[in-house]
Amino acid sequence: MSGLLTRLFSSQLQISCSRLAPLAGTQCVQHLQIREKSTKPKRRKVHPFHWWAPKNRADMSEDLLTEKNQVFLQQVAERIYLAPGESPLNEEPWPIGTYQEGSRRTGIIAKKIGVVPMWLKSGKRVLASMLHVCEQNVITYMDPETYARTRFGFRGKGHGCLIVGAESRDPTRFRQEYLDLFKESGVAPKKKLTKFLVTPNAALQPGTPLFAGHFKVGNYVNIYGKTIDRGFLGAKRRWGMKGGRATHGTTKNHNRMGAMGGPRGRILKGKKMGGHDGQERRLLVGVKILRINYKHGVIYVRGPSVMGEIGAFVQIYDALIPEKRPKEDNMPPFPTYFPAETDPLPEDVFDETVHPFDAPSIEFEQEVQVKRKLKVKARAKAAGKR
Amino acid sequence: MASWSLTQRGLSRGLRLSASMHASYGRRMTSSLPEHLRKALAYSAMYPDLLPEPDLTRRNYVREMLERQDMLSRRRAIDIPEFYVGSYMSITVSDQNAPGKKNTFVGICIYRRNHGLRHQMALRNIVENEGIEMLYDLYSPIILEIKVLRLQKRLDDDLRYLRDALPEYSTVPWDMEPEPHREQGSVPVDETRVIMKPRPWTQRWERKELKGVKEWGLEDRFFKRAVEVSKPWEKYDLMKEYRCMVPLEDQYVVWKEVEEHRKTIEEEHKRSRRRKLLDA
Repeated sequence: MSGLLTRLFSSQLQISCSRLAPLAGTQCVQHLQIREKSTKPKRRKVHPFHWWAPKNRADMSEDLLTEKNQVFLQQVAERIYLAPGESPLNEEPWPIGTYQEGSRRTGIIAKKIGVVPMWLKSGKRVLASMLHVCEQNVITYMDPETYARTRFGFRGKGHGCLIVGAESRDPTRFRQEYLDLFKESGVAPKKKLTKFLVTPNAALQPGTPLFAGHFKVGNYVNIYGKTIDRGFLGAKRRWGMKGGRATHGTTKNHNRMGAMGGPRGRILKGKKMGGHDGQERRLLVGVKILRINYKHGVIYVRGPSVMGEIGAFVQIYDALIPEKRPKEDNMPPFPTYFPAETDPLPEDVFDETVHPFDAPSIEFEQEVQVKRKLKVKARAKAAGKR
Repeated sequence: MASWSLTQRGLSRGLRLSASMHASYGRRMTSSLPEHLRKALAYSAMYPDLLPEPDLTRRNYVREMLERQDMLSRRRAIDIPEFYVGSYMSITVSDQNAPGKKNTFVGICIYRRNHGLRHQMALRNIVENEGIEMLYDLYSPIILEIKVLRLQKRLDDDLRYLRDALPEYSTVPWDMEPEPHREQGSVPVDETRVIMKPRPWTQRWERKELKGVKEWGLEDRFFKRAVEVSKPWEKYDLMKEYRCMVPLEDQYVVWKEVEEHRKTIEEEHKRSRRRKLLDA
C-alpha cells in the first residue's frame, strides 16, 4: 500500500499541483483520492476485457445484400472454412505425446442439457446431469514460454495453453479481428472460445476435433461454468434469511433481513444483504462419470448440481486431486481421442455401479440364516432343560 | 385453414380435459376428428410420461430423445400396462427390509405426475383404518411387477380429494383378482361420487371444480366464496393453453416411436399375459 501511495504522490499529484499552481497563483488544495483494492475476489465481470478481439458486428443493416449476394457469400465461406466433418489438419500432423506421471490433458466444452434420474444396482435413485459435447476444434496452442509472457500467463505455472472453440457460426456476423483468430486452424469461426492448461506432451495441433471419446466412464472430472443469473434478489432469497412475520400487525417487514448491526457500532464488511445473485464462475470438483453415450456425444455425470441453466456452456476436464485422477486401469486416451474406423467406440457405456435400462429388474438375494453356535455353558443348560 | 385451427384448438383443449370430459363432451368432439389427431389424443392420455415437459425454456431435443430411448428400453424389460388415474393396481417391488425381499402394495391410483424418467404414480389404500399412500417411480428398476386389477377412469383427473373423503372410497381389497377387460375400445369410466368427511380438509376442495363429489357437507358460504374466487375466463386464455401443451409436431415424433413399440413389444407382453392367465 505504501508503495502505491508514494507512486501516486510522486507522479499524478505533483503534476496536478504544478498545473494548478500558475492558475490559482496560491497554494493548491490537494484532493487526494485513494482507491483500495477489495480484499474479496471479483465476483463477476460485466464487460469483456479491453484487449479481447471484439466479436460481433454491431450493425448489419448496411450490408444491403441481395439474396444472390448472400448465397455467394455462403459459397465463399464454405470454400474458405472447413466443414464440420472435413479433415481439419492443413499441415503435417504433429507427433503424438505419451503419458507420463503428472501429465495434464486438455478439457472439452459441453452444454448442459438436463437432469435425469438413474438407478444404481443397489436400487438407489441418483440424479445425473446430461452434458452434450458440442462440435469443437482446437484453435491454437501456446507453449509454456509463450503463454507465460501473456497477461495471465503467470497463473499457468509452467503449463502450455490450448484454446478450444465450440459451435460454428455464420462468419458474416463476426468482425474481422475475431475472424483472424481462426486463420491458423482453418476451421469455421466459433461461438465459444475457452482456454485449457496442458503439459507440453499433451499439445494438440490446431484444427484437431474433440469428441466425447476424450473421457471414459468411471473417471472423475472437474466442471467449470457460470451459475444461473438470478438478477437482483432480496436478502431472503439470496441468503435464505427468515424475513419477518406474515401477520400480527407486521407492516412492510415481511421480506426484510432484520437486524444487521454488529459490534463497535458499524456494519462489518461482507454482511449478507440483498444484491445481484448468480452469473458467477464456479468449479465443481471431482464428479463421477456414470454413463457416456458416444453416439450422440452425451456425458452423464453424477449429481444435479452442474452450474448454469439448460443450454449453458461448461468446461469439463480431468479431476486434479490425487485420489480422483485417472488411474492406470482406466486411463483415458492420451492426449485425446482420435476416431479410427477400424476400432469404433461402443454406442452407450454404463458404469459398473449403474443399472442399465434394458436390464431386468433388480432382485435382492435371500440371506441364508446362519444358526449361531451356542456356547458350552448355554448348550449344557439347554440340554439340562430337556 | 379455419377448420384446421379450430380442430387444433379443440384438440389442445381436449388434451387437457379430464377422462370424464372425454366421456361427455370429448367423445362427441373426438368422433369428428381425423384419425391421426384422435390417436394423438388417446396416446397422450395413455402415456403421459412419454411426452416431454411443456416448459419451453427447459426443453432440449437431444435430451428428450435419449430419455425416450431409456423409457422404451425399460418398457421392453418389464411389462408396464396401460393404466389411468382411478385404476385399481397392485405393484410388487424388491425391498431389502421386507420378508422374502419383496413387497406388494394394492391400491387405487390417485395421481400421476412429472414427465419422462421422473414420472411417478401414487397408490392409495386403507390399512388398519389408516390411509396409506405409496409413491412409485414408474421407471425404477426395483419394480418387479405392475398389475392392473381393474382398468378404469374416474370422473376426475386427480383423486387427491380421496384423502378427505370417507375411507370406504379408497379401500381396495388386498386379495383382489385382476378383472378381465376389453383390449379394444374405450376405457370404462367409474362414475362413483364420493361423500366427504367433515372439515378440516387438506385443501379447499369446493374450489377445485370436482365432479366426483356427491356430498360436500358444507354451508352455503363456502360455495359462494368459491364462485367469487373462481377464474372462469382462464379457459379462454390461448397463451396459457399453449404454454402447458407440447406442440403437435413434437408429439407426432413421440407417437411414431410409440406405434412401433406397441406393434412389437407390447403385443408380446400381451401374449405372455394371456398365457399366464391360461396357465393359472
